[in-house]
Amino acid sequence: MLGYVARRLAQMIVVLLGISVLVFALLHLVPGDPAAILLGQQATAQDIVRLRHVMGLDRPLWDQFVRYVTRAARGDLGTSIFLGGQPVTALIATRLPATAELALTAMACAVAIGVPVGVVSAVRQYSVIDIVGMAVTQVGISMPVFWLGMLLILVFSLELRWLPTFGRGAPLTAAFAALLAGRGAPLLDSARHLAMPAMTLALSAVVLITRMVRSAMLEVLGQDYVRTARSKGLSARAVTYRHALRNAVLPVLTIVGLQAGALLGGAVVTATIFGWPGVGQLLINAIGQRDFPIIQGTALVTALVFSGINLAVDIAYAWLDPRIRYG
Amino acid sequence: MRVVTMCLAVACLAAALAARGPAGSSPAEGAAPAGTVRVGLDVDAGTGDPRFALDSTAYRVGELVYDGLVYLDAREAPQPALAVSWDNPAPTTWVFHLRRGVTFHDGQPFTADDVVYTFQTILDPASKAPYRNLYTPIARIEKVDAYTVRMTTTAPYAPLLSYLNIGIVPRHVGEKADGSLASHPVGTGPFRFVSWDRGSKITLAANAAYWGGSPKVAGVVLAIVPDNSARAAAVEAGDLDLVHSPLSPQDIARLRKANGLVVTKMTGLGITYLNINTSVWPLSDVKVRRALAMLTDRQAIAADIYQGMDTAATSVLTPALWAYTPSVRQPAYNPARARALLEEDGFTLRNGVYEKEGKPLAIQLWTHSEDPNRVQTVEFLQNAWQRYGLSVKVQTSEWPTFSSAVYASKHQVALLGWLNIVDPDRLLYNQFTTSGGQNWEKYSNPTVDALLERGRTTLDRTARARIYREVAQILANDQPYDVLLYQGYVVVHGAQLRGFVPNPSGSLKTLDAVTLGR
Repeated sequence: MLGYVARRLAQMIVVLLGISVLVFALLHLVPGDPAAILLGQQATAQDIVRLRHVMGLDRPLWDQFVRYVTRAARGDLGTSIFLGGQPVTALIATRLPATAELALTAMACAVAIGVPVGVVSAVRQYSVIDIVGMAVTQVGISMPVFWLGMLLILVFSLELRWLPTFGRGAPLTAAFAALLAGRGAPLLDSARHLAMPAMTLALSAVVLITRMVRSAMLEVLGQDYVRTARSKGLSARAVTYRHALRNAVLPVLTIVGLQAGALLGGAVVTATIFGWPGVGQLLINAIGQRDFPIIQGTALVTALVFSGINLAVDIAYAWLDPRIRYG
Repeated sequence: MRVVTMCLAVACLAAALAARGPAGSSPAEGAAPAGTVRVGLDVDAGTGDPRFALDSTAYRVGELVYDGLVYLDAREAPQPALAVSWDNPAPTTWVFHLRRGVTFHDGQPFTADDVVYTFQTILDPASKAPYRNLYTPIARIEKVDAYTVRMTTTAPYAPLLSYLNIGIVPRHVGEKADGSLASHPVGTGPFRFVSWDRGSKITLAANAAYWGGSPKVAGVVLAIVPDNSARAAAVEAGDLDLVHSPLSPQDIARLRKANGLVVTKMTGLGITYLNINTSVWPLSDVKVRRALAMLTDRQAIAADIYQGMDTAATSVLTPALWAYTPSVRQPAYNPARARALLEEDGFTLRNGVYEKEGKPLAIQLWTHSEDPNRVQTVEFLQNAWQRYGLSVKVQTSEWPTFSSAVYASKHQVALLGWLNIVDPDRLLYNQFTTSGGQNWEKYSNPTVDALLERGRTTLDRTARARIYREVAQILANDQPYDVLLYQGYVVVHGAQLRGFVPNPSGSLKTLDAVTLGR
């Protein structure tokens, strides 16, 4: 197992290097010059040439790339062009917790809703619950995230005045620490800020997980060992949860892993509507301005997180299913 | 299974917590001290250093935390700020007499050294100051004594005063190698910097020692809410006290009907226009350019696409400028005359498309994808122009791709805009002189060159206004720009905020005089 993990980690380095080359090449292939954008429409051609030199953008590409990679290997992702020369690592580090908080909450909601609904739909196939569940998920998957977000704001902020329209409360870690110290207000505040963005973001994952659990459960429930378990006289509950769900959960885990990565990267629209200060927003702004160091840094960190989650999912397979052995 | 149970428990807890917050208060309110104005803005500031400000939020921070030598009032006329007065002993010499007894937020005194330092660092060739070229006519800046500064320009430079509202930074902080002004601004302005929650909010507190008198509110929070509709909803829900352009026309219509909100609309300092590349056929033909103007229904664009937020333009001079006159007019919408003009020019219709000497009247129309209204406008124009016998290809690209093509004059007709036109020189000199840095349309007219040179070097405003009207008339005839719209500026604030004076430039400087009746 340890050997397997070491091999996977070594592969990750190759993947990260590949991503770096790809992002670097793409950035220099597409039109758009950060110096020209920084100087705005009022700049003259001489101004732009001067600034390109100051920024080192006139050096040969290979030279720029080698400089970038050697610095990155030391954990230095450079400084932002547009954000007052702040270090990219610091910029990502301040925003990653917000993104992770939103993505994890959304994923927790998605699992909490998706798994039970999926199980019930499968066990009671073609029942009212199943039909309604599938109809709702069909609507859910067709609903644009943007529209859902605005709808929630309309209902919960403008009509009911229950939830704030935008922003983030105290970080969840700090809020839980306050709760342990006997103060519940920060957690309440954090939860009220999280509620709408998390629900908006969770929707597509809920739909996927529900449908995945339902079909995996249907397949497992039809197998011989389930019939055997039933004929042994086990309760329906024990058969469903202890025997069937554990086997049905493997493909679901893959979806959860992939979705977790997608949620980390794909929280952009949600973050924009609800003013959630995450990594996605940082990246989108950086792409619009050709802030090369931020784009490269964010791509690298996202790839790292994504590979990490995939590795964790693969390890979880072995833990969940004794038949799987890595050597 | 345990995981699922735990997730369920967390979700239930969250739902329970979400159900109803503390009675009647929003958390944004709870987090801020009483009397703090909550302003919603669309982007986070890139820097807290006004010399390097690029985005609109950095400008807002610049106005609230710093002072310039002058400030621009609601009519964009320079008024004394850190300079109490100034004089021109010679047309190329400006002497500024500085305000005494002013201190920076860190307690250090403000002197001529700070003014000299600010402009020298902007003019440094290695500087990344985005608007450096507005100041390059300044040949020398010297300290005469602790409270007097002299600027010498290479030639008389009339617009100079309009650009001296840029914040003066403290030399003793700016010279620190760590660039801390970018993340921790220190100025002399009405509000001092408190904290910056990146991507989320910037918190400022009233500067009780402000030379103009302490602000009447405890502070200002600049909250970053990127989505226009979400920002509108936030002011409607009472989570924000003030929002301003960019806002979508549909939201403004709704906010006008909401209780307890004050909506103010005025003409802003921006234009939306078609940049027409005069170096490529058929657009090198002035009759074709004039015909295009006659096929362009600016009223319909303003009413249907911008829903009256922006107004149909008549010339390159905007009504917010002192040089404006309604008497200069681009060719008006008149398709019949456009067709007559094209036919008089030798174009004939074949299979529904005009052509001349076997070449079709084909035009490529380009804009950037970030602005849905502009995308809709090019589609509208494509439809309209095609109806009258032009072959029109539309292209939309993201801003970096689009702008680098336009800067290299690789376009035919490009839809874009100019902002912050505080002086006509800023919209005309670099754009229309033959060797101008922004002459992407490759327009060349010796009369215009001479007039714009004179406009820049004449210090008398009445005389300048006459010159710019003459230029605007020539441009209206030649049509290197087809100015479509005068951009509108809208401010929406809660009725609890009193005393706010909107400025077409988007400046929030008058927050130093508002009161909050919450």
